[in-house]
Amino acid sequence: MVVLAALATSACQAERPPGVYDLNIADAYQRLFRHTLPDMVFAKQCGILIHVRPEGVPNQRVMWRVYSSGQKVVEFSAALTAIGDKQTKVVINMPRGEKGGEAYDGSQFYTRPAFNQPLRPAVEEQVAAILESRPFDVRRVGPGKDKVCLVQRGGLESGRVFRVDDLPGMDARQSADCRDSRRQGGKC
Amino acid sequence: MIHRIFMAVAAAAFMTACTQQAGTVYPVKIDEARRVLTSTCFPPLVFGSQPPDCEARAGGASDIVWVGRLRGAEVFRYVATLKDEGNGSTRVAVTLKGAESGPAGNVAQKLSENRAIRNLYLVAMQERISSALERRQFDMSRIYPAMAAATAANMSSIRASVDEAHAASQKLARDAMEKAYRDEGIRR
Repeated sequence: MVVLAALATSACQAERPPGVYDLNIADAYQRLFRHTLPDMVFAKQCGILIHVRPEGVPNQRVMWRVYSSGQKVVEFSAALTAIGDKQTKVVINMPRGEKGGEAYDGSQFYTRPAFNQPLRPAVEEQVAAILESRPFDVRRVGPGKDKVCLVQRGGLESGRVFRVDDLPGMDARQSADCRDSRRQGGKC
Repeated sequence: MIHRIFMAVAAAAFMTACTQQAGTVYPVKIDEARRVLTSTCFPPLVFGSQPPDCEARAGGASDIVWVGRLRGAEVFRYVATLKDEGNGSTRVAVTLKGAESGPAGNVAQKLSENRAIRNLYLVAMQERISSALERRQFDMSRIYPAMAAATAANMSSIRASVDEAHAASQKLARDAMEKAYRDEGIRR
């Protein structure tokens, strides 16, 4: 009987539709609005340093704007809808990509990418982890496909920093040196 | 299939053990064998990324001793016993003895508890001796069965070691990234 009850309970839990969480909308909003997504940033960021700033419309929407060197590089949002008093449906919205589709969908090209692509699964996993009170699990996200990102992240992991406004083919230090040199009339 | 591999590995280990005990006869005069072997040292690859330092010397009239040292202290030694078989040929039998204390701990006990590793070290040294006396390149394929057996017997610790290395590499990457963010904060 205990086993049957456990099976019935897990079956009921499994029936929860995707994107629906067992939290009322105020709690869901508060959790998301407070979060700067550090685990997702660590797992998926590339070579440029990025900072996530959450903004929100209470109990309706949380938007995360991502900046690098003071410049906005991408934003995405979670739209919240109450389902009764105890559940909330969350829909992730990504902006349009320059090549069609959506930003960071795996088909876009960025000279200085902020995140590895595709980004949507990582955002969905991060939001789910926050609302289910569990750690972000990078294994649920799948590998990134952006080779530029992988190269630049390799640089960051070994102490070589990139900025979104770097000169082509240079990292942050090389770009700064080059700009200094140009200011003094030199070449680089 | 697994049964067949096991049988092949077991047969190889058995034959190797017999060869090590009885020794192998080479068509080389004993003086020449002694001269060649004292200028030979450990086999490649089997001791990992930090192989011990090797010192080869004659040990009495009939033995050649190879001492493996880490940070100057002995961790193990091979002893090859040479016997004149007449007609310009020499029998060479090799044994392995671990140190009972030192930088790598009680190697003698570790070797007696881990026979697959002990066998691999012996097979590899046997091939080092054979290749030297037969004036040919060291043949890795001759130690593959012993290597496969050692790998199978030590899979759990190999996995733990890989996990450890992965965790260490992740920590290094995270440290480098955190430093980059700290430095960025300082520059602001």
